[in-house]
Amino acid sequence: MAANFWQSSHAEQWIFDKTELMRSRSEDYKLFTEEEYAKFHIFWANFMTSVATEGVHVPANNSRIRQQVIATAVTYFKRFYCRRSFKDMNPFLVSCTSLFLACKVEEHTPLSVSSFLKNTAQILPKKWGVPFDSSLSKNGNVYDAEFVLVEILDCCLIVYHPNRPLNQFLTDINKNVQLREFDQIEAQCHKVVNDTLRCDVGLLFPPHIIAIASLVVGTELMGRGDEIQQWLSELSVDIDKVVDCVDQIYKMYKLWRDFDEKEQVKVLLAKLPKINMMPNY
Amino acid sequence: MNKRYETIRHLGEGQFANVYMAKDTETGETVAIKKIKLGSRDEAKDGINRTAIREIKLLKEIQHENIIGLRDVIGHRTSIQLVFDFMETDLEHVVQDQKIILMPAHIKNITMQTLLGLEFLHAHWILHRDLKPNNLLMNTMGRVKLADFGLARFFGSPNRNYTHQVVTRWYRSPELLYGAKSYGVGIDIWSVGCILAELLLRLPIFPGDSDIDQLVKIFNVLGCPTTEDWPTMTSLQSYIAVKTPNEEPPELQFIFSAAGPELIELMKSMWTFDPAKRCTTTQALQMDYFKVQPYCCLDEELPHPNRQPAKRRKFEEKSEGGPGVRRLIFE
Amino acid sequence: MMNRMTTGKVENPLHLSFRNPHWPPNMITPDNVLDYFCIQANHFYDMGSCNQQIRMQNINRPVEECLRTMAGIQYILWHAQPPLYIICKQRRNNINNVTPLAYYYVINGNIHQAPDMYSVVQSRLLGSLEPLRNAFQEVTNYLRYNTAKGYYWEFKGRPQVKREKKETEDDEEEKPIEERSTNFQKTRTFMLLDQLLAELPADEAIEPLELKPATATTSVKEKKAPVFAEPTGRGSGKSAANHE
Repeated sequence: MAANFWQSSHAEQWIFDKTELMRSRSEDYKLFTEEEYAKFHIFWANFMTSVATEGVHVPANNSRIRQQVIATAVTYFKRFYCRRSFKDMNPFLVSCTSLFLACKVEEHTPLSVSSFLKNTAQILPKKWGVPFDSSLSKNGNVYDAEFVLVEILDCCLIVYHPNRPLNQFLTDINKNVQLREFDQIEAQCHKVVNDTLRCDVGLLFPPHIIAIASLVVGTELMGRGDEIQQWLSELSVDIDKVVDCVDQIYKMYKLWRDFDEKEQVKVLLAKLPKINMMPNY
Repeated sequence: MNKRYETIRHLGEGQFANVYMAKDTETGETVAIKKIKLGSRDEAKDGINRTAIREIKLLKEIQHENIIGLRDVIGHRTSIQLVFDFMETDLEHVVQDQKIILMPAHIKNITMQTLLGLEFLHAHWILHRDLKPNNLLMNTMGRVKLADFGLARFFGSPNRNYTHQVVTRWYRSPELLYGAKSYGVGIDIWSVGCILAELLLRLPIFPGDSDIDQLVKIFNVLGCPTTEDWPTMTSLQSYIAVKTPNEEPPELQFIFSAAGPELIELMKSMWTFDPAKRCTTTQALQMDYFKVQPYCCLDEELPHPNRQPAKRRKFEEKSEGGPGVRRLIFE
Repeated sequence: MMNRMTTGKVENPLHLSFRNPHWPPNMITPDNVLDYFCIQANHFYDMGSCNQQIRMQNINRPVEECLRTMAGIQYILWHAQPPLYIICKQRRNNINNVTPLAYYYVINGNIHQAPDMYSVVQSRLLGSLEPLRNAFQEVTNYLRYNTAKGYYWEFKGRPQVKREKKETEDDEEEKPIEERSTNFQKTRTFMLLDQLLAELPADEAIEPLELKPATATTSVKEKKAPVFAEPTGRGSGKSAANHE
């Protein structure tokens, strides 16, 4: 997906600054504290990854959903709740629908809605001890929600992920700086990029900034941050943004570490108001 | 439908959608609304039709004078509607209208507009994958726009296999007919060559009625490719050696008798068998054809078919799967 | 392509003729003479012309009707009187404006380009000057002068040799002109032209200049007479119509 990012809807409509983001979530901040809200998003990202990678459809289709699809789906989910409050639509429904839509947009093998819902029903109690709301399990709801999702996303379905710029940077580093155990660094950085889905950087920074930030975090986590300092200093990039992005990623890691999902998710879910099954907007 | 748009009349029915002409009450402009059909129960299982998703996601990102503009998407509980620029006619109508004679300057203009639109698409790493006269729309201002992105997709990702069952058969390139799994911009260029030929002859140049017949029709005109012309040919999945009745293909000049040598040169480079050697849109636009007289006419000088109730008929024919019009299920 | 190449060569089209080898000349009719003319091998035919555009585009409408709406080089049937057909090559600038570029005679299946006035006059002048010059040269051979008599002619004992030599030269020069058309065609064309002249009297076009209608036919004379003699007279022919 290498069309021009700077002319894309992603760049034009879906990069916010922090205050904009806060304002758009004002409704939800009445329900949750900022920390709770951030944790809640970590949970949803984890939940969507689980639904996509574990469960019944995996052996059946013999193909794990690619990371790219998950990343797109999580981005849809986040974008949706930038425009709407958790009160407006059931997040379980939105997350399933996001995955379903992302599969189609990324030209992934079609998946049936039923298998998504079946997965959700299995995974929810198993991993988080949360009962599955059976009223959710109607396929029709997902079809309806898909229309709503497309509309709230303003039809901006193409998402630019940091993975591609990250690969370019890694190739460049490998050419210029000789690093030991390069493949480990590579793996670590990709892991960090995938973890960035759990915080808001995808809504705040363009993908290349996130990629550089992930590089910094990845190498620092391995205690090898110094090794790419030289390479970093030669980049012509808005370094303040990178630093800001790095901070956010660390913050998220800290939050995630302290987040006991089994215990706290129930509490968080309980705070959700009576959820509308049907879209209400 | 929707408060903003007032339906004026039904324009036609395709495989996936109904098209209506409507008025945008906010701007007073005429628009075309494509209402995606929900289809059978099987299709409904997939939610929003994939072709619609493709059109939405790509057209949302690209704006170009020669690419149909997606103005709005109306989500509705039961159906999704795409609002497009209204285009009065398409090249299929132009080609079939015996009242129209296309002058060299007209043909050059249409070819150029098509190539400009396609160049933009390819620069954004998008393959149209279904170019044919029917998908090149034209408005009364003589602007030609590429439309119907239901089969379009990104290319350039390595190790990704694509289906070869794209492009309406008559406009399908030899590598697709031989079942190539990885292909590129060449398939669109080949189609443009066929469209250009159709503008010149006013008849489809390769009207094959099966995949094999399609190859025979192509080889009758262009001769059989040799492994020298196209070294990777024999490794393609469904490669078969096709024998054609006439060994010596006629000169293209003989078929396109009123065409100048520059035009023949352009067609030859668009119809190069080896997709690796086939010209790109940018190369095509820089060829001599566009530099010699007669130059392109003005857009508004392009002939326009008199509007007849033909549109409806054509759509009906298509939904029955007329000759060559076969769209296969994607992947 | 062939055509384009030959047009590039500097060859006087007036010295060329063409015969379509696939058609017997007696098959030509006013309806198909353009088809006879419009083939690639014919060097008088421009493959980029509107006629060829129509042919290539497989348009199933009368050619004349199509040509009217097209701009560019076109070939139309100008006049037909079997076995003579005249084809006009013209440039159409718009729907009611054309510039004729050349005329072609198709006679018995042979196509020639009609020469323009300049070429005709030039050719005629050259043709008459040469014998005139020869005559003078010849005659000077017999011219004598002496102081008593002044200039006088003497036709005795002139050398024959020179003259014979001249004659052979003349033969060689004149041959290509002879070859341009057969005797039949010459006489036939003259016949046809005479007939044409009778039908469309030339003096109608140049009426004001012609005080004495000497060459016109008798019927025309009768018509013209009143115009000059008595304007309000017998009311025959044109003048009466004009006055009423």
